[in-house]
Amino acid sequence: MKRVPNRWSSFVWSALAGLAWVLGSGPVVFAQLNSKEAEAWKDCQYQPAMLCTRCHDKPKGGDVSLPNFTQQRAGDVAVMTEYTIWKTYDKHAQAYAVLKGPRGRLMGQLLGGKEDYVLSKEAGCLSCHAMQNLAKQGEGQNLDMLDGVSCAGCHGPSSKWLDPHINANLKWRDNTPEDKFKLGMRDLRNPEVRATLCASCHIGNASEGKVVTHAMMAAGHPPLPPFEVALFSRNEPQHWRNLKDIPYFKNKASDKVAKNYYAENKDFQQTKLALIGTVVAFRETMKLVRDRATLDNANPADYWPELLSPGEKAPDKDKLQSLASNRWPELAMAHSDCYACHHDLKYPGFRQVRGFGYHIKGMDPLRLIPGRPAVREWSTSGLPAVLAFLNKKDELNTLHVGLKTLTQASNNQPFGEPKAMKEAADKLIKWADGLLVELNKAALDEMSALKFLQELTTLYEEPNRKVPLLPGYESARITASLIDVVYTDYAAKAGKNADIDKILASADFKDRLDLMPYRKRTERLNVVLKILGNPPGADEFRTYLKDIGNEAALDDMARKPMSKLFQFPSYVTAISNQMFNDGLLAKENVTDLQLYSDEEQNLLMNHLATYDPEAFKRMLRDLASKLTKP
Amino acid sequence: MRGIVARFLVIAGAISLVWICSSQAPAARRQEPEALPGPRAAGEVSPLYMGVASCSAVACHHANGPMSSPRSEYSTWAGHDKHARAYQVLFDDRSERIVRNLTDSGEILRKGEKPLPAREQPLCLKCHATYTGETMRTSDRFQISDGVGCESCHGSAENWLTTHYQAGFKDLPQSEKAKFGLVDTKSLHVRAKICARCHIGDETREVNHDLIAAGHPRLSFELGGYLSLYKRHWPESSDRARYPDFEARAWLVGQVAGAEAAVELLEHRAQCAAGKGKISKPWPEFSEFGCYACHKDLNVIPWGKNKAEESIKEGYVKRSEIRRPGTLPYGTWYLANIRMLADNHDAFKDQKEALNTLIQSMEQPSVSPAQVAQNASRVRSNLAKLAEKLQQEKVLLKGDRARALARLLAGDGEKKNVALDWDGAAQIYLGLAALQFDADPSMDLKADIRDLGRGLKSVFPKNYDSPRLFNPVAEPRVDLKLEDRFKNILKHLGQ
Repeated sequence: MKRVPNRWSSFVWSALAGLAWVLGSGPVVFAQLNSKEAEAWKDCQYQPAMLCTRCHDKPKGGDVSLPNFTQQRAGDVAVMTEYTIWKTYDKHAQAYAVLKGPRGRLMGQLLGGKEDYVLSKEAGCLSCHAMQNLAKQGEGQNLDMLDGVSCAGCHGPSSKWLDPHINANLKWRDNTPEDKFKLGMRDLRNPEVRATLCASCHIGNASEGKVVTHAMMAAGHPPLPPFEVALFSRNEPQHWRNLKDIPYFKNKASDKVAKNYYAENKDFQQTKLALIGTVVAFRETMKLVRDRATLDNANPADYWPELLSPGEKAPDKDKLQSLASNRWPELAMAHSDCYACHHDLKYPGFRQVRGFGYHIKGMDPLRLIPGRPAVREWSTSGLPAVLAFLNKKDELNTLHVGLKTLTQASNNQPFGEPKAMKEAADKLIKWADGLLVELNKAALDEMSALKFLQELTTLYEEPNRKVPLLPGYESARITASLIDVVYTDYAAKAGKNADIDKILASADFKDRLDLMPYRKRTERLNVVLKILGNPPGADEFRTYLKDIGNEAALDDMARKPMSKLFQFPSYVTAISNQMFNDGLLAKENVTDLQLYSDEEQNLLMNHLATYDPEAFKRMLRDLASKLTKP
Repeated sequence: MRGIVARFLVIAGAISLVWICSSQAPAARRQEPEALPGPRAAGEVSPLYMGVASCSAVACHHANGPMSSPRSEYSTWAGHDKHARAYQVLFDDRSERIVRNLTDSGEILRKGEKPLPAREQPLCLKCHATYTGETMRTSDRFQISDGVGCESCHGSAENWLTTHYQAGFKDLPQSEKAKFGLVDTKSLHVRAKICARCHIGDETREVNHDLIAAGHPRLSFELGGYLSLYKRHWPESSDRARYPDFEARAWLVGQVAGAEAAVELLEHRAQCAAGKGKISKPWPEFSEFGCYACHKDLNVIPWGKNKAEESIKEGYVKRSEIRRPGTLPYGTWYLANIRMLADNHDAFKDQKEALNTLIQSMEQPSVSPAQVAQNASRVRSNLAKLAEKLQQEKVLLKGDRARALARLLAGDGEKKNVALDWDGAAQIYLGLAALQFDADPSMDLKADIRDLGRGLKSVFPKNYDSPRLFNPVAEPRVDLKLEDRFKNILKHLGQ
């Protein structure tokens, strides 16, 4: 008998980053931005992370006279420990090594018949795990795959901006995002740009060859978790300060520079990111549907990695297009809701009670024939709250029309008719683009943040609805993420509410909804420290990282003449990529790392299996009642 | 043995003896009435259904004697047989929920905006009552509320009602009786196919994945187990008089006839999907595939214990035979034992080539309906011939022959070990439970088989329709000790 079970784990929860298009504030048309980026950067070169260690290793505080701050320079904006944080704490730095770990080798065996298949170009893994799609942007690239997902993947090719951003005598920050973009730097402080970039791996982007196919997941790739950019950023962990913690913006910055850094509305930076990220996640999900359903697309080998056969030359374009048409169900699984099928058959389950299809507050139910796979539901979950925030509830009608076409396409045949899916997704993408124009302009204050919070906590309450709204686990997780992020901004201005803090810190909220997924971070860090030879200062660095925006605390540490905090980064930058990767893959380490990931993934899966939408709704009601009190 | 099977079936949850809705197109879309066994010239009006009331005279089939006693057929059915209450379940909450969930499906008839209740849906009535569609003709004594009545299995009675008790009728050969429209329920092959019409599905009625997802239980028919559970309205001794090896024979014929019916349904579905049918049907049709390959809470299986890799290491499969990750396993229930027998049993070896071709065509990333229809057609006709041959076979499945079959099953279980899925393990168990009766087993063997059944039951937690705790390679949540059990069974079966 031939049985290949599903098995899941995450060595790297998911990898990310890489190329994306984008840029610019104001109205954007994304299909063009990708080519805009490619065009603008065609003479730029990507560079390895090691180049950044010249400056971005040791902490720099506000008081430049302190003895440890030998190179104060840009420390009043950037934290200057970016490389150190990324290398030690951030799983992006292990994104390539993970392909050679037990899970990666098994996947290689199952997908391509040999363990190192995942390292080959045609397997499609390298585009997210080693930024290999970036090289297409120009000739003579200088990337080191061993970096995993490093600086260049997100910040852009640095050959033209490396010098000016160091040597312009701090005039660099006077440049507008557009100026920097022309030199190859991506404007990651723009919420839409950042969300789109992260989503390119964390949701997928077929035109960039970044797709986690159903075959990959069946072979062992963890299912991609629902993506909420603000919380993901916080958990990465951040190697940057929040705008409101940046010393330079507290006093010195001119309005012009503040504008360049989107600091005008800095107290509600995360809320704005969350709002925009919600719409971007929906748009990128639809884009994945649209691109993969475009059966006559020009680069089929990028769009449909599952159609390539291991060890064989890629078939020509026409052949791939006809394969795609025959194998649409398999292709469509990649953008479908994992847990609509992958759940034990509980009876009576909430899915049968709720019914199937799209059930969104303020909108007539869109009923899918039971048993038909549907596009990931979670990407729609925050939209009603965003529309309410914008006072645009009538836009639900447009959303309804688009989702109706998707539903009908799926009712006509399992997985939907590609053409109808593509057209529906395309309309929804345009709708989301329009919404983003509004959101980019929106100014936030306490009142509007509170309003958004109230909408989020009542997202599944609609008294006159015949069948109750019951969010799936992934929708619940997105909702909880948004609440956590927005409340953090709100409470910093309006003051904390002890009752709410208690709920948000509870195991039912934080743990069960997996808002801090890296439960094994400490253990994982210990492995990294072991590879680095257990250097001094790791504890100090950990303390520092807990509150990266706390300037006073950093100054305190800097006053201590022999603070080990400032020694630690030297050990981190000293290790070569090869040694670091070898260390990660040394037998005793790779086994531990795999077990940590398995454990994290198992916990998540248990939470998914025991999730109860009614209990989640009770928690939201509790939060909503606390919010209304002054 | 009956007790074991009964218990097991109750547990399995999946194997619910629930009466079935068919996921057939609504009557409005269907032109021809269902063909019941028995000759009927083309264009001839179908005979009237006379209704249960026409059988239930005290002097005829309602003698009110003990269950299964002669002339108490109606009494037994009305008092013990769940078929008599098949229509009533259409009034319960579950039925209401199913129809509500299916509202927007083309399968469901509506009156204005609202769907008709389950009791008026042809989709449901096809199996939950004696109902063949709009063109069905009934006498004034017929009542739909009788559920699955006499004529559902024995055939519409207009032409034989007043004949069948007359002198000489009883002695007519089956072929003559069939001309009156009386169905040959004595033949195990015919009997299996009658049950299969609802319990597996056919051209005019089926429980497809849409219906299951809406709330209908999965179908997983196995003739031997079902018969042993069934409240027979005939004496068991009459079955045994006809087939001295009844348990073993019913199991074996049921395996083949069940597979035949399942493949026939697949053929029909594939034809419809390929545009050759009168109606369109969902494709791929998920209910053709192993339910629990997808329907399981995902968890991390330690990477050192990969099921596929283990099977390769054990030499059970070749790497080239491993399904591509993410494709769906086909035939996990109806073909599990047939595949094994095709590899190991002389009577089955002609099946092998066509069977493998069909399975391969179903387990591709792209399941081509035209190709599947063609492959299924070959397998279906092969199996039909085999079922007929097996039910007429003069050599009895007793003693050594039954033991040899049981050894094949247990040996297969032992060999597959971690590669076994729940469906496969349960099918092996059902086979062993049936065969032990005629294999003249030791007490130890009975205990081993009983424990195997209990173990397979225990992996369905309360309120679950999937074997959540069945996982031969992950850390054992319930240790079924499958390998040990099969080894013991083999030992007790002797060489």
